[in-house]
Amino acid sequence: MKGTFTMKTGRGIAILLAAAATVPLVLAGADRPSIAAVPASHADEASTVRRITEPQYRRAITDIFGADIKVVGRFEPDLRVDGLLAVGTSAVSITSGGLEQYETIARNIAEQVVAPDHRASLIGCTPAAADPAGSACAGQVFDRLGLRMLRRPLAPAERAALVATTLESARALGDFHAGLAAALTGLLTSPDFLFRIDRPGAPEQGRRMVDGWSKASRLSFFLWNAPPDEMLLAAAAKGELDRPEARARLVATMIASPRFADGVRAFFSDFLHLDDIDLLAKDARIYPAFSSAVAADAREQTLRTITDLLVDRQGDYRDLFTTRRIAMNRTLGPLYDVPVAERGWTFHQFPDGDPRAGLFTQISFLAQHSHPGRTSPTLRGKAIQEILLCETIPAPPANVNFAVVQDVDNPTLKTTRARLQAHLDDEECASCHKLTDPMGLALEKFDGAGQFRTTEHGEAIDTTGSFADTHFDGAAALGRLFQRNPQPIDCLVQSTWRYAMGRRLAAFDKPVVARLNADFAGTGYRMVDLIRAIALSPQFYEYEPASPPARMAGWPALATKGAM
Amino acid sequence: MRRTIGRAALARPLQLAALPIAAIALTGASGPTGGDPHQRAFVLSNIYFAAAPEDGVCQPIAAGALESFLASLSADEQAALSAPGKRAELEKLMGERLGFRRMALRAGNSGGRSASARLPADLAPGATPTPEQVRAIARLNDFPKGRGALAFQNHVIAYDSCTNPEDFPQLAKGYRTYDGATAFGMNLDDKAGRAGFTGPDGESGVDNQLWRAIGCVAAFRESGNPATAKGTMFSARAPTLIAISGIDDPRNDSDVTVTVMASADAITKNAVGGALARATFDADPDPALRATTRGRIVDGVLTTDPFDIRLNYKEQILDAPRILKGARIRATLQDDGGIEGGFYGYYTLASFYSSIEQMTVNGANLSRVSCPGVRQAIDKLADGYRDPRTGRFTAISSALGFFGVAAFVNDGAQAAR
Amino acid sequence: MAQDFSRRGFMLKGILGGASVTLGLPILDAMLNENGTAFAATLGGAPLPVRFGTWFWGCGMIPARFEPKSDGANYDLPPQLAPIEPVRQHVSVLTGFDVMLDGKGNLPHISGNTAARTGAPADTWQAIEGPTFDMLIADQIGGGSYFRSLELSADGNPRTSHSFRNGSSMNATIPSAAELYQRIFGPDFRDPNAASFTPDPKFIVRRSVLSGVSEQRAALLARVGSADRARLDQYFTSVREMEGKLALQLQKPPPAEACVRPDAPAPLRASADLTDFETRKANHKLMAELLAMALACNQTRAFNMNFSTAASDLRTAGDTTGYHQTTHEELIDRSVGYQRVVDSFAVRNMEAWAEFVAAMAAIREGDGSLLDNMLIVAHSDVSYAKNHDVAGIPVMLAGRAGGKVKPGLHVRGAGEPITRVGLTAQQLMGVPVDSWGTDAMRTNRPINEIIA
Repeated sequence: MKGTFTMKTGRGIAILLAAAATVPLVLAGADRPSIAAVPASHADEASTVRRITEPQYRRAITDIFGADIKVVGRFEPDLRVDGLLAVGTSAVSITSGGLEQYETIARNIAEQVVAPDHRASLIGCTPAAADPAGSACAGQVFDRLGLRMLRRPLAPAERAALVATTLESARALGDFHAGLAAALTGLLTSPDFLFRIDRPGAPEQGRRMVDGWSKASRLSFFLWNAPPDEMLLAAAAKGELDRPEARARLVATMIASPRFADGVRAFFSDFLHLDDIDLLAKDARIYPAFSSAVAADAREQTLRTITDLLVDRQGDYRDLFTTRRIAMNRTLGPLYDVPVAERGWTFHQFPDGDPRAGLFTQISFLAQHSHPGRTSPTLRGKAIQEILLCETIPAPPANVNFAVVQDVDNPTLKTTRARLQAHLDDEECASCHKLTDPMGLALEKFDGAGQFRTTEHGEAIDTTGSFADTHFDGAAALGRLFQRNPQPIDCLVQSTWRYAMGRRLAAFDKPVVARLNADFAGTGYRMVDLIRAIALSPQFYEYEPASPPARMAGWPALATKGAM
Repeated sequence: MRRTIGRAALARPLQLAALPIAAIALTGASGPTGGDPHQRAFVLSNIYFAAAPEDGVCQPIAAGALESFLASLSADEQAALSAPGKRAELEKLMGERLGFRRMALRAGNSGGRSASARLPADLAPGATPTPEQVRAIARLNDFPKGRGALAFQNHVIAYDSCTNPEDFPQLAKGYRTYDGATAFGMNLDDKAGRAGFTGPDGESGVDNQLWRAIGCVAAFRESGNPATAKGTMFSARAPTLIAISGIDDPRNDSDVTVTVMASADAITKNAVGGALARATFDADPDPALRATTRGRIVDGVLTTDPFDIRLNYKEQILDAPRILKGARIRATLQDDGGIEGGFYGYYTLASFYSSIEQMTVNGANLSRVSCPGVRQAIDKLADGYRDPRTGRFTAISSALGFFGVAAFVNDGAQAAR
Repeated sequence: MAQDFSRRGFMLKGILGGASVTLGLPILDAMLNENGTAFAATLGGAPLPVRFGTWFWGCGMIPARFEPKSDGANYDLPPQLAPIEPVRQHVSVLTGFDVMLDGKGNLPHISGNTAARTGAPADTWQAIEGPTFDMLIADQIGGGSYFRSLELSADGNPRTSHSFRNGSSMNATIPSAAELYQRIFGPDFRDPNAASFTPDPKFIVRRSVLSGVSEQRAALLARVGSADRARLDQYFTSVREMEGKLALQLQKPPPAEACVRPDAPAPLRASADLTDFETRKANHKLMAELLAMALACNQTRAFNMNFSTAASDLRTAGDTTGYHQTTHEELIDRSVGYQRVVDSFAVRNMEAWAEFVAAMAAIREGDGSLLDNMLIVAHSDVSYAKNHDVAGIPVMLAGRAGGKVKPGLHVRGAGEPITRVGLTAQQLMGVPVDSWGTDAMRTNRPINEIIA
């Protein structure tokens, strides 16, 4: 078996996976997925086609047409593979329902672009006496927009086709600008816009490399989570991206840009599974302080805390597990039980000894890996293992009796720990729960909405446990153990690499990941340096790497959410 | 103006001298989970006239203005207009006979059919008129001299039995006051005079002449029922805050500092519709909306010395601050961080009358209130803060109950000092 | 990349010349079931259109007497909901969806309905910030029918409307059954079954553009490995499917099977008092039945029905004080814990609502009813009228929207903004919108519980 896949909630979404035909597919929340599988013999190819994500699409439109042009509509959901949506981008296609959405969004954008109030700035020409049908004007428009939208120059035939579509549609609709909008809709719906399709370029030192345009895209989407801007496209046109020293200069410029923080946010949003947190719902009667606004701001809080530490202050990644400095606003203040002086976002410093310290005590983590009406040490422990340690926890067997665990009003088993312990008397369950629960139980002083508590049903909560053969008590102490442990570092490095490449780890990745790991230690675990090191690696630009990727023993499979 | 209440007069100079400046400064970007353990603060979700837990004393309840008007008509007219279905016609007739006016100051629905007012040239469209402009509008639209008031959130100018109840004493016929023996409140003057009530828990000499005056008005009886009041949020867009500082023992502390403040931050509702606890509110920097006194906590019950306070009251179409003089707080501090209790003090007549004026006869008719009846009763029963010049009382003893949840106060005014 | 424009050029010319072009894609056969429902839901158009409407009543309800205790399907019917028992399987009840005043004043009977309709509470209808959501939906689905939308009021007053393009442009209502009949079924009645058909050139152009995308297939597939090839092939299949669906739009729609021109209703007695509850209900029922037939005859796809004004204008003839006054005046009867008269008025609102739903369900269409191809959003201006409470304004949905909606559920909003209702309706009806509402009312979360 090559792996199992979880899909974000959504209906009727076809997924197409580069996996064996016999792969069992776990399709959580899909009503009637249509699944097309690919013959097993192709499963080991490195993909050269990645679908752009919703944030990338939105960013592209804003960059090309300006913030006035609104992108309204629902996108086909992304797919998490091997724990990352970025890896999923090279597994997904576009379904029939999805295409209708993309076409609708595209028409809406195109109509705005040609609308009278934007025409002058975005189109810049009209049919004239010498050019009554407007073919010269249409040609100019697509020369300019084609490069930005397809992230490479248009081929002459493509340009001719767009002009022809414009003129034919203008004739049918009796309006040049309507014709332009029709052709623009086609461009926005085309595979070269919706997918990043690698093109081979000249080899470098014996490696097969992608061409300069594809290099610009790889850099830009990795560092900025955005399509290449004018500067990068100009560099690609001049062939600068094919020269390592020129690449290094460009990477330095890109990291110095304010857009770099967007790229870091995009990575951590994906890595920490923060993308769908705003769909998180809690039982209103049990957690009345929780709301969808809290959920959305909890994500923002974590991302702001991370970019403050890792980008603005160029900090040590390991401090994320212990930091007492956390972004805060008045929506979140009630759940953290602290005053918030500012009306907007600010930073709150918890004092030494306070129960809140580090990533594990943030609501984005605590609430997301809980049930609607109670905590789940198992889900929390599993999230720590899988997300932050890149371990794999098997799904529970289908026939488990959860009655004891779920009975929160059990008169004798008052705490979650006591109820879980009863469950663990079953040896089959215990084998996995001993991997997840001890770390999850460390967080039990934070309820299912992430609020601090000291007792459960009147009984004091025990948060002791051990990690890496070291005893600890409580979330802050667990964070300190993580700060000193090498495994979270390894996990971050390989996750960042997988994110950058948009695919699973392959055997041939082992040397580059090992080198990145060593370099990361050498630079004091600064995230900025890890990202720079990846962007400067020749492997980052490789086209269809030579040896087929195969799952390496001991490296992670896909995250699956179990029932507990 | 001299107070008539001894204790209140004595307490005040002391408070001002001894208050710690940084009493409730919760500003700053750091702090422990749970906030400063020496401080507690609350946002009040409802402040209401605590109704006496006594039934059967207001039979029948006080008549509204419309009923009094009907009773004043000839037998023939009464016969023609007494059917409930004739109510709109009756209201129209009352307005015509008594010369009521109601005119819209801006476009749009202003809570009833209103002709558009002629406006002075210096009034910008949509702007709130100054008092001078209000007088000008009244003149331009032929209101009786010196009469008329803004209402309905300044969308209309009106002249009627609520804006000017003194002009319509005939509508007070059928009004009645509360003659029960029990009422919420405190003994404010340390005397057990004739007018005193017995509190629900047996406390004697309770001063609450306001309930005496309005306790048989249907609308007040209902909103004052504590069970109803607990589930209702009032003035949530301009709530009142109470902060206690200097707490050494949250159950028993002989000396704490208590500050009442206003906030312009609306109360956020939680997912089950109650007030969201532990939210941060900016204190209104207006010094008029802030008052501090000393208090003590005994077995979890806070009692303060008397002080003068001004409480925002902005609800629906009303914006009528409540001004209480010589008021004390007595309230239970709850384990979940909430508070429940009351403000007990002398409600100034001017501030109470403002709330009546703003409701206009339209609002009064909808809630079966006779503004002239209320006005006459309060004028008669007022018992505090005699104006030495006129010899009249300017305030009335009252009991305002409240409910609140834990909150944080961001007191920019304090920090700035 | 080789390009061949001849095919698209031919297609455009062919269709513009009046001939229908058959693409010959197998998808057309595969996706058209006998009743044509397969496409009706996705494109909001031919063959079976999905219609949208609103139903408004004033003065809300008494929460303890209205809100079901149980969630999901087969919810219980508290006394004020008892009248909807015959249509419960079609009706979802949404409770606890709030208007966030965000520090603004609560203007009685205005803040609640402006917020529910426009996504932000306003002091007056003149001050609303955008169109009402029914207009956004009518703009999306109303094209192609004779009336973009039909605005109706059962109170006889053409100014009773909650549908606005903007603050200065209210959609006046048709206030009586007789006028509605004249408007739809009078001498200008356009019989859908006799009408000739002209395809919309917009659909022609959209399909042509997609076929241009399709032409890139061969060149692109040749460039990638086999796994990627399969993924891109899926994409191109999706493009082809959409081309096929657009081709359907170029064909004459199937006959409106239930469309029968009804008899003209008897005009109201000149002295009829429409403020009387029973008279109002009778007028409303007549209008509902005419509206149902107008929908069945494809005269419109969008409508707004107003049963009463905000701050309900209703009363009972000769008997009691008006409904609105009663909500404020009537004392809570301590023996039962609620206002008895107000309660009885609230029950009668729901009787009218049940009759409206039943009128839509009574018309057969495809293998179900007209209601199955509709989404109706019913709401009021307040929840508990006594306090002008705008938290938990009652909302009900009826119909299956051509299979996109799961009916018959009770969903609790738990203090979430009521804009989730407007957003859900817009998304279900194909409006390309991912969030709706202003400030605290802004939401990007549709009510997934009711989406099929």
